[in-house]
Amino acid sequence: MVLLSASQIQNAAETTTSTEAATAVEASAEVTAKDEAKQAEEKAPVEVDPADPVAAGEAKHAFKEPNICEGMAEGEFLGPDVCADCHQDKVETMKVSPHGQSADKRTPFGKEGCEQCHGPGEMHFDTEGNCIVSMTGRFGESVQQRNDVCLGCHKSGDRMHWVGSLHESEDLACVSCHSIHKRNDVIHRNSQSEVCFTCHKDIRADTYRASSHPIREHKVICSDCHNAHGSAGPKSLNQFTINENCYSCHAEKRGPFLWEHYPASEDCTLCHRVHGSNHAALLNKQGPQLCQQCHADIRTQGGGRHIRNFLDFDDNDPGRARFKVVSNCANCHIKVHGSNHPSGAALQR
Amino acid sequence: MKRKTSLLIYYLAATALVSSAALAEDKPVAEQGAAAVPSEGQTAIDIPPDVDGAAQAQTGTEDKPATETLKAEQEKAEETGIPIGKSLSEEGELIVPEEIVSEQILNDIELGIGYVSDDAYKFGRYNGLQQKGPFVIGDIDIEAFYEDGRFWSVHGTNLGLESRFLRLEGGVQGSYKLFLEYDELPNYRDNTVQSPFLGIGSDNLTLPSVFDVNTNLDANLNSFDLETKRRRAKAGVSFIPRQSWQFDVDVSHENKQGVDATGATIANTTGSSPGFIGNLTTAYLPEPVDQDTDIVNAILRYAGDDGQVDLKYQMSIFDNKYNSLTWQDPFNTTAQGSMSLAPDNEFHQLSLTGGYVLPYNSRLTGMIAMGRMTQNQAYNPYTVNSNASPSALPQSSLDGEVWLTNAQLKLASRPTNSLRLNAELRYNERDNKTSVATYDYVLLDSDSFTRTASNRPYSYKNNRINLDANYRFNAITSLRGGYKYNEMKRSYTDAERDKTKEDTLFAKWKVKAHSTVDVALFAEASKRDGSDYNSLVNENPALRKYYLADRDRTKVGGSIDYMATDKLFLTARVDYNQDDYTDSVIGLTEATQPVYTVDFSYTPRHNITTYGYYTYETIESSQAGSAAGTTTADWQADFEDTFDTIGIGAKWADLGKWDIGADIVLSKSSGSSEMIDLSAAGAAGQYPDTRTELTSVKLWTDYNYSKQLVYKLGLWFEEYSADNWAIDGVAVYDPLAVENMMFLGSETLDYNVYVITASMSYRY
Repeated sequence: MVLLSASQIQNAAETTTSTEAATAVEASAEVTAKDEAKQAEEKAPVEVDPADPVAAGEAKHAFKEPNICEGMAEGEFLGPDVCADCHQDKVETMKVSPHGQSADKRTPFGKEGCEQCHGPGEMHFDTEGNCIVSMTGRFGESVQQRNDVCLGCHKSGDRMHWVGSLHESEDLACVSCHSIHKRNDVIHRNSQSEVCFTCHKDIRADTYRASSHPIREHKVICSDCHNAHGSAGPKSLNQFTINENCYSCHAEKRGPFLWEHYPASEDCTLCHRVHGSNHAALLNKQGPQLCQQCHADIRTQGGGRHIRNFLDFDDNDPGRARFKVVSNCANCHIKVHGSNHPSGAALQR
Repeated sequence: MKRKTSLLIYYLAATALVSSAALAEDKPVAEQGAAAVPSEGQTAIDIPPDVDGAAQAQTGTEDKPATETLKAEQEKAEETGIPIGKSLSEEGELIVPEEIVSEQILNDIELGIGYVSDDAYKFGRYNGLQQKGPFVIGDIDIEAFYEDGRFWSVHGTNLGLESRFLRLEGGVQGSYKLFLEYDELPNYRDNTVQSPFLGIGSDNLTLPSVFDVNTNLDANLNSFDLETKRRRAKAGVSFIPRQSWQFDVDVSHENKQGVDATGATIANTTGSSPGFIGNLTTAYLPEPVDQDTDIVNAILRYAGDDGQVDLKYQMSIFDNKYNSLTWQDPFNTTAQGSMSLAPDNEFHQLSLTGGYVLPYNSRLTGMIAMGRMTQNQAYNPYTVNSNASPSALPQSSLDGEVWLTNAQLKLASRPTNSLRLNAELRYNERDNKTSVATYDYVLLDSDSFTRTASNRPYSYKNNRINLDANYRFNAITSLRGGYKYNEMKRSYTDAERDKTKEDTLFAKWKVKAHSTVDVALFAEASKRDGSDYNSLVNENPALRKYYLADRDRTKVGGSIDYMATDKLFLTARVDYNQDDYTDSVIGLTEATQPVYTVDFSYTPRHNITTYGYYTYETIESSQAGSAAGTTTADWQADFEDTFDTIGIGAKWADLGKWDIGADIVLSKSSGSSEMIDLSAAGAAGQYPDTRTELTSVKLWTDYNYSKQLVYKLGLWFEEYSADNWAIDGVAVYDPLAVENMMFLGSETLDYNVYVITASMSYRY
C-alpha cells in the first residue's frame, strides 16, 4: 500500500475509464437497448443454448426480451433468489455489501431485494413494455431517474443538499462515483482521490506541487473538506464558511485574536492556494510582493526602518535583503494569522 | 448470440462502472446461505414514469448503427475469454465465471518489507519514508457480515510507518455501529537546519554561556530537525432507535507535537523615539509544539419520506501547552525577548438542517447555525525587559468572543424533465463581540518607549443569492445559465470599504455534437464594486487592497469528451480566468490563469488499461507600487508561475499469473518575475526564477500464486530538485548579506530516492 499508485487502484482505474465515459458508455448501451426493443416488438422466439447461462435463465423464467421501460410501479416481486438464477454474481456480491443486509429493514435486501431498486421482476419476464431499471442507464434511464432511485432512501444526512448541488447540476449520476453493489466504495481513503481526479484533473496536478496538503499520501482526502453531494457552504465545503473548514484541522489559527489580520479572519484563500502551490506554505505568490498587494506604504506604519520597495534584487543592501529572503515580511511579522500578545499590534509577537 | 453478447457487455460495463466488489464463498453470510426474503407489505420505490421518453431525450443515439455496437460487444466478449460454455454446472446451475470471482476479494492482509535508499525529508514529509533504511509494510482490510445484521471490519494502512491509519468498526446494521480510529500524520519539514539555542523543544530558549554571534556562532551551531507529528484517536457510535431516526456521535482527540520554526524580533538597543526602533534584530527559533485538539460531533437525524432534519452540535477545543516563548537575543545576550504562541480557544456550534419535498417535483432545503468562538488565554506581559514602563494591562486576557451565524435556504425545482430551477439564499455573519480596550504596548522587547493602540474587532455580514436554470432543449443540447450576487459588509475600525458587492452572470452550453462527442462551453462575467474606498491614514491613497477593490472577472472554458472507440476515450479541457482590478493604481492590478488539460484512457484489451494526462497551468499577475509614496505608480512587478504535469500509467492484469503496472508522473514548475522601475524607465535587478522538478516512477508487479496468495514487488523512484532564491545560499548569519538576522540555514530539499518493496498479500 506504501507504493499505492493510480494503476493499482483497481476501482479508480476503472472509474477513470468509466466516469467521464459514462455518458458515452451509456449511449452505447442505450443503442443496444433500442435495438433489443425493436426485437421485442417482433417477438422473435428465444433459442435456448444450454451452455448459455443467460439463455438458460430466460428459458427457466420464460424470459422474452428486454423492453424499454414504460413504468415500473406495478408488478410482482419475485425475490433475490429468482434474480440469482441469472445474476448470481450480483446477488452474492450484494450479500456482503451494506445494501444486501436483510436484517436492516432500511436496505434494499431488507425490503424487496434487487427489485427494490431495479423494479418488480415479474415485468422483467412476462409483461411486454417493461424492463428492469438499470443503474447504468442501460435501458435509457435518465440520470435523474436513476438518481431518484438512490435518493428514495438517501436524501437525508450528507445527501440533504444533493438537489441543486454542483454535481447534480453537472448531471452526475450516483453511480458516476459510487459502486452501489460494493462494500467500500468511494469512501475508501486510499482510492477516493483518484475517483475525484477523474474529472478534477487540475486539482490532481496541484497535488504534485512543491507545497501541497498531503493528498498524494491519502492523509488528506477530498471528503475531509468537501461534500461531493453538496452543502450549505461555499465550494461544497463540509463547513459553512471557508475559514471554519480550515479551522477543522488548524484550530490554532482560529482565535479570536487580540490583534487580527483581517483577510486571515475573513478568508484563508485570499493568501493561500489550498490544493497546491510552488510557493512555500501554499501561498499564492512570492513575498514580499504578496504582502505589498495590500501594504504599499509601510514606511509610515512601522517606522523608519521600513522601505517602500524591494524592486532591485541585486542592490546588495543587507537592510533590504531582510525583507526579501526566507519569509520576507513575515521574518518579523510572523503572526500573520493574528497575535494575542498585548504588545502584538504589529503582528510581530 | 446477440442477446448473449449484449448481456455480457453489460456485465462488463457494470463491473467497470459499478462493481468489482466482494464475493467470497466463505463469507459469514454466504456460509449461512442467506437469501433475502422479501418482506411483506413493502412497496416499491416509486420510479418516475416516462422512462422511455427520457431515454430518447438523454441518449440521442439513434444515429449510431446497432451493428457497430454489437460488433464491439462481440469483440470484447471474445477478448474476455470468459468461458461462457462452462458457466453451467452439470445440473444446469449457473456458475459465476472464475475470472470474475477472483476479482471480488473482500479481505486482504498484506505484510512485507521495504527499503528506502536515502534520507529525504521532503520525500517522506507526510508518508513517513523520510529515513534511509528498512521499514515494515502492513495493511489490512477485513470485513464480515452476518445474516442477523452483525458486521465488523478492520481497515489499516501503512501500519509499519508513521503515517499509519487503523479503523475498527462493528455493530448491527440498522441498529447501531461503533468505531475506533487511530491516525498518525507526520510532517517532516526540514533536517538541514541549525541553531545555537539550547533548550530546543521548550518554551525558554537560551544561548551558550559564551556566545558571540560575530565570533563563535559556527562553533555553537547544533543541527536539529523541524518536524511535528499529529496523532489522532477517534471513537464514534451511531444508534438507530427507529428506521427514520439516527443518532451519531463521534469524539476525537488529537495531539500535535514537535518542533516548528518561527521568526522572533527584538530591538537590541533602546529606541530613540516612539516612531523609531533601534537596531531591530530577528532570530529564527525552534518553536515548541505540543497542542491538543478535542472535537465532538453529535447529530440527531430524522429521515422521513417527505421531510428530513439534522440537528447537529459541533465542539472543538484547542489547548496549547505552550502559550508563550522567550528567548535570549543572540545579538545582545543580556536581553531577552518574548512572544505569544497560539492561544487556547473553543468553538461550539449548533446547526439545524432540513429538507422538504414540495409539489411540482420540488425540494426545499434550509439550514441555520449559530456558532461561538471564544478565547480567553491569559496575556503575556507587555515586555519581559525593564527598559519601558507601560501602564498596567487593561485586562488580564482578551475574553474574545465571536458569534457565527450561518443560514441557507434553497429551492430546487424540476417542473418538467427538461427544466431544472434552483434558487438559493445564503447568509454568513461573523460578529466579533470582543470588547475594545486600549493597550499601552511595547512594540518589541528592549524598546524603551510605549505606544498605544486599541484592538479592532473584525466583523462581517455576507449575503449571497444564487439563481440558475438548466433547460434541455432536446437530446442534443442543453443550456444552463444563472445569476449570482455576493455582498460583503465589513465592520471594523478604520474600514477602508464598508461594503463590496459582486454581480455575476454565467452560462453553460452542452451539446452532443455526435453520438461519441460531448462538447461543453462555459462563460462567466462578474463585476465587483462597492461603497467609497477610504484609504487608511498611513497608506497610499491610490492603493486598493485586492480583496476590497473593484474587479471585473471573466471566466471562459470549454471541454470536449470524445469516445473514439469503446476502448479509447479522450478529453480536452481549457479554462481561462481573468481578473481586472479596474480602479487600482497601486496594488494588484491584473491576474490571469489559463489551465489546459488533455487526457486519455485506453483499454486495448479487457486486462490492459492505460491512462495519461497533461495539465498546463499559468498563473500571471501584475501589481504596481510607489516607492516615492505618491499616487502614481513608479514600479511594477509582473509574475508568471507555470506548471506542467504529465502522468501516464498502465496496468496489465492476468499475464499468466502476473499482474504488472507502471505509473509515471513528471511535474515541473517555474516562477518568474519581471521588476520594472517605471521612474527610471527601465528594469530593475531581477529576482531569480524559482523552479521545481519532480519525477515519480512507480513500477509494480503481483504474482498471483493462488486465489488467496499474492506476492507483490514494487519499485518507486522519485527525484525532486528545486531552486528557490529565498532560501538557497542564505547563511545562518551573514551580516553583509542580510542585516541583523539569524536564520536556521535551511536548504532546498532536493532528493533522489528509491523505495523497494516486497510483500505478501493474503486474500480471502
